[in-house]
Amino acid sequence: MSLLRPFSASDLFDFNAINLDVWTETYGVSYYLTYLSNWPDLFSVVESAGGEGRITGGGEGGGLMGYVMGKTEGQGQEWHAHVSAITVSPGHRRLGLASLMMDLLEKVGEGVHSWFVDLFVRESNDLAIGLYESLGYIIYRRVKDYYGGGPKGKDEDGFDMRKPLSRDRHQTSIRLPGGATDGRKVVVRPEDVYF
Amino acid sequence: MSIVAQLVNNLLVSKKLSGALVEYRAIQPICSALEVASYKTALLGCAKLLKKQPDHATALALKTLALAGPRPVSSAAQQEIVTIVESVKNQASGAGLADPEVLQILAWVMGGLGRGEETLALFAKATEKHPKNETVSIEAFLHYVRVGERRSAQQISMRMQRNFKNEKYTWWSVMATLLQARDVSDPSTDILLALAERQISDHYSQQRKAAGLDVATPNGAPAIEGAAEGGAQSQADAASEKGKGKESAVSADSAPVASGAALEFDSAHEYFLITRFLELRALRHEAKAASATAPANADSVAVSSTSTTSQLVLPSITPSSASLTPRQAFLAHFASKEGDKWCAGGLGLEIWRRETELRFGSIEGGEWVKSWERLSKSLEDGETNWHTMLYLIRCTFAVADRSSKALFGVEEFSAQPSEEGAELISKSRALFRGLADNSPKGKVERGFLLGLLEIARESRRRKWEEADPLLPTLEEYFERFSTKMCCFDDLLPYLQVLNDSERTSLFEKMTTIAEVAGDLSITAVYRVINASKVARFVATVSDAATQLAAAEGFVKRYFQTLPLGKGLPPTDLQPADDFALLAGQAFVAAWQYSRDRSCLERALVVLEYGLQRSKHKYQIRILAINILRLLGASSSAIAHFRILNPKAIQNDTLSHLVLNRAATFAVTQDAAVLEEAVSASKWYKTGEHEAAEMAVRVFSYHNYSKIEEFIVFQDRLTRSLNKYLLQIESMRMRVLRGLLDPALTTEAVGQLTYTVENRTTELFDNRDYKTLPNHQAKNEPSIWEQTQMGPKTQTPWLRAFTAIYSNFLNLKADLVEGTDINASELTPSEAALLKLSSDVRAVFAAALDDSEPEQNALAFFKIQTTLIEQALEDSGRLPWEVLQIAEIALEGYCLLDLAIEQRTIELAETKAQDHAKHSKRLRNFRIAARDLTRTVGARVTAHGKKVAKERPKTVTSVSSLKQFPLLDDDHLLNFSHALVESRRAMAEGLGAAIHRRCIK
Repeated sequence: MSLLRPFSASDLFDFNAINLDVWTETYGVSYYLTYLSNWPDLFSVVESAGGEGRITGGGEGGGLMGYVMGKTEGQGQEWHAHVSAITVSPGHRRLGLASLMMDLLEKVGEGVHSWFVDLFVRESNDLAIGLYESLGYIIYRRVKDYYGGGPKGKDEDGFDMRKPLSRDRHQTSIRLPGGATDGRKVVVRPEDVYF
Repeated sequence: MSIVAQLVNNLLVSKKLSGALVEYRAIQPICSALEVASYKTALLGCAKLLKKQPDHATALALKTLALAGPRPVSSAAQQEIVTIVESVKNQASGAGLADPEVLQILAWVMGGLGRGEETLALFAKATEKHPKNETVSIEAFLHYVRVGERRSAQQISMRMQRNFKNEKYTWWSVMATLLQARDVSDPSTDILLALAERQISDHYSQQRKAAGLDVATPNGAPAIEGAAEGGAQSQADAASEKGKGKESAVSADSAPVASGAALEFDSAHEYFLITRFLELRALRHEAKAASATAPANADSVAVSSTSTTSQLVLPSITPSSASLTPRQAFLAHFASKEGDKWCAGGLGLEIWRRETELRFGSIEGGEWVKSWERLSKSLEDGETNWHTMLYLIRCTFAVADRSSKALFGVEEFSAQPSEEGAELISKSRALFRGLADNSPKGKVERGFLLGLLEIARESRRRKWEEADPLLPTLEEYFERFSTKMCCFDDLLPYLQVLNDSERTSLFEKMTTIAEVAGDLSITAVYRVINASKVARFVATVSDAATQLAAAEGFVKRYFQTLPLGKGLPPTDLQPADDFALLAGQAFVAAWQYSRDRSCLERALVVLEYGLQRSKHKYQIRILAINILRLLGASSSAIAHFRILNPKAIQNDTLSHLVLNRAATFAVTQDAAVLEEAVSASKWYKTGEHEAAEMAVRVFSYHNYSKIEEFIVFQDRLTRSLNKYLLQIESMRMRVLRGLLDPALTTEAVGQLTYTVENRTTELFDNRDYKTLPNHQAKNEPSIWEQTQMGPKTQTPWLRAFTAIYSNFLNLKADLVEGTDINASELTPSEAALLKLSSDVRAVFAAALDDSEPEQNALAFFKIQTTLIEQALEDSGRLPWEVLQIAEIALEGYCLLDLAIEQRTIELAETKAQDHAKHSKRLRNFRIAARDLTRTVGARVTAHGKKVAKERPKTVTSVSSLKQFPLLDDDHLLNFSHALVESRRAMAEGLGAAIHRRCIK
């Protein structure tokens, strides 16, 4: 029971239950609106059923439980959907919401003929890594010092995780460079992962 | 990059690209100076350039930027800017206005000075002088979008469409037209929709012609230009006559789509825009039918050219002999192949299609049954979106009612479900039951059982038989999902509709579950928490003793289960957290019944302890903030608020947590409350700028599906109630702290008064009250209502304070008595202040020997003395009330003092008769008010001293919590010390401030 619908600009007035969570950053208005404007189909929200009435755009006025923001980027075989942020409020975890949102994002990625979907995750975030692995993502490479504010205040490495889409029939997008077998050992710098 | 940097950067890039390298080199140093805020250097650079070329438009524009740099902009600088703008407009026949970058700069500078009207005139002049200059027209159009001048945007885009022959201007124009047609109850919508229809049809007719498809132009319709100049209305009238009579029954199914197969929408954005047009058209048609007296059937009324599609040419609905009503056309558009294509590609459009089919469908048209079939197939194929389930159920009940009105807020039901509907209800139940019990996702997916609950709820609304009775289904749901944290939230809509006997029965069952003995696992913790929340909500009777016992029970559970989260990192939440939140709410409920303040103090002990263990449980922090404010400990509340660290848009939605009636706490040694108000207020400028620029951007990028959404967002932010509440609250704080610039204030008050008097009905309340969940009983006030300081501040409160400030500080403005404002919206002190603001005007107008107005006004201060004495004597009153009475007394005196000063100057300047005697009379009046205020000050000072000695009392009042070993003597002592210190600082600070203010 989770209502999945496109994120709307006015949801910014209602996303506190998600964004007051310690791991979710709140950005300026233009950050969200830029995503909405450029990649509206890749920005979705899940809402709880407890709404008091119908509002437009698919919403029922229930509390917001989580959202995913994505974009498309890259050239040629690097053309892919990227998950910029996915977050679920603390009270609504372990309900399969992340899977629901990722599923939609992948479908949209398929619709625009992406080769793969990718995302970055802190190397210490075992829970999230486990979730993405269960959804079919593999660790493609390690991005050195990608995140600030890691354990003991140091920068933390991130993992670039990928899942090939149907266009990538030969799964070239997840073939590790140099014949490596473990993406954790393929180290790149942050500047190497911009498209 | 700052806005100034962006502007000068745009200018430099444009000069470089256009090859104006001499000019580029000449202005480059000025631009560099502006980027680093060296305004004097920039001015010198401009002066040098203007000496050689006095009409150098770019230099003049840069000069306005330099003049507007230092803030606040002096009145001399403002005047010079206005003069420059006028000269750019008029010199060399407005040649300077041909430069879009110059226009950008001038518009930004003028906008910053609040001279919106003059900026509009600037663009009007620019487009008049340079009608063939496309970039100037684009700049003007985008400016109109930016500032919400939709009519001007529509007009210029129509001209652009004519002059520049580019398809994009057609869509700009249609969109700008539709933005004005959103209120379908407004008759002017007809002409707007007719205009849009003409443009749209013309566009697709041309496309069909170009594609060699066989289509006549719509009835030899006039060109769009004619429509723009009033032709649309006459067309509308003519078509209205023609279209009268009952339509032929054409369902979406039989819509003539085949012949349009060759024509397609270019993009999802274009499909979206046309869909919105068709929706507005259908809604307008329905609104007109509803307001017409005779007809009962909306479809039988043909009221304008928008009532049939005989002229409408679309890729989804092609011209044919069939004449569709707007409702049918809208449905046909979605039912077409184009509709299938675009809805399959985007969830938003698919959702819109479902809503449309439900809203505009009918039994005869078969939309509900078809929709049901499509949705049930999706569910059988594994879809789990609650929207799909909800719309399947809604279609079911639309069929059963033979109408979908009941699903859109109209309480109109059939006495019994239709035969077809009863069958569909049965099929829907079987579908959900099957999915819940047998599908692979049945064990984890909550929606299937909730679907059954939703069916039971809809049946109950209609007083129909509940095939799956609500209460047992609800209990089944609880049994299956009680270990999920969100179980209570899922059930809330269904708990709301239980009757008393069901509530009593459920209360007993839930209490038994909640009281389970022995140690709990983590999942058992969630089950007990959910049972406790349900039990609290459905409880039918309660009293202070029950709530106190419940609170202590929750504290016990909290400490019992706290060890379950022992190994968790500090960033994680504790499984036991919700017991602390429930304890806090039960203590607050106990206080509601008993008015024993110690209940609030005990709540705070538990909440603050909970925060030590679970720093990020924001629900606990918000409740703690509310209670601290009630207890008059603002500095502690602010400290908690700063840990929440709200950013960006949260300034609008969350700042009310500490800034509602914040003037109460503004007079202390530290300026924390004022700082918060200033920073939240400042954000609006950034937020509104970003929202406006994004609205411009979606137009520029032709993202038509986002335009209206962004415009709605921009409106909600620009006309945020909280923004205006903050403005008045900041002004109050400045008055109290003696930081007010009277000259600037008069203008600010004038602007605020205008807004409040003219636009209060259009304000949006974006304040978030949902983030603190309510766990009080259904028949009790919510936790927010129980813990807010005074009546909720809404538009009447805003109007009252705007009236107060206008009456005191804007003496030239008319008196606003505010007698229509309901006193229940204000605290007694605030109501008295409103009256004082009127009484003072009477004092100013009184004759020398008339002392009655003065006595009336002075009664305010006597009332405050009485109120504060009553509040101090009554142990059931809270500390914030004492502080507010004293603060309002001080505020009244400060305002009166400022008003007398202004009035005295006025008397002297105008050399009014007996002005010296009147000045003396007013001086004496002020002295009398001052002496009375001093009395209030003495009371609050004495109160502060008493508070300082309250630590032992506070320790005693929370001592019942010592039964929990972690809340030992040291802990309670530290808690009491911190609370008393914060309260003492506040009370003594206010007393001292009144003393200082009333010394002379």
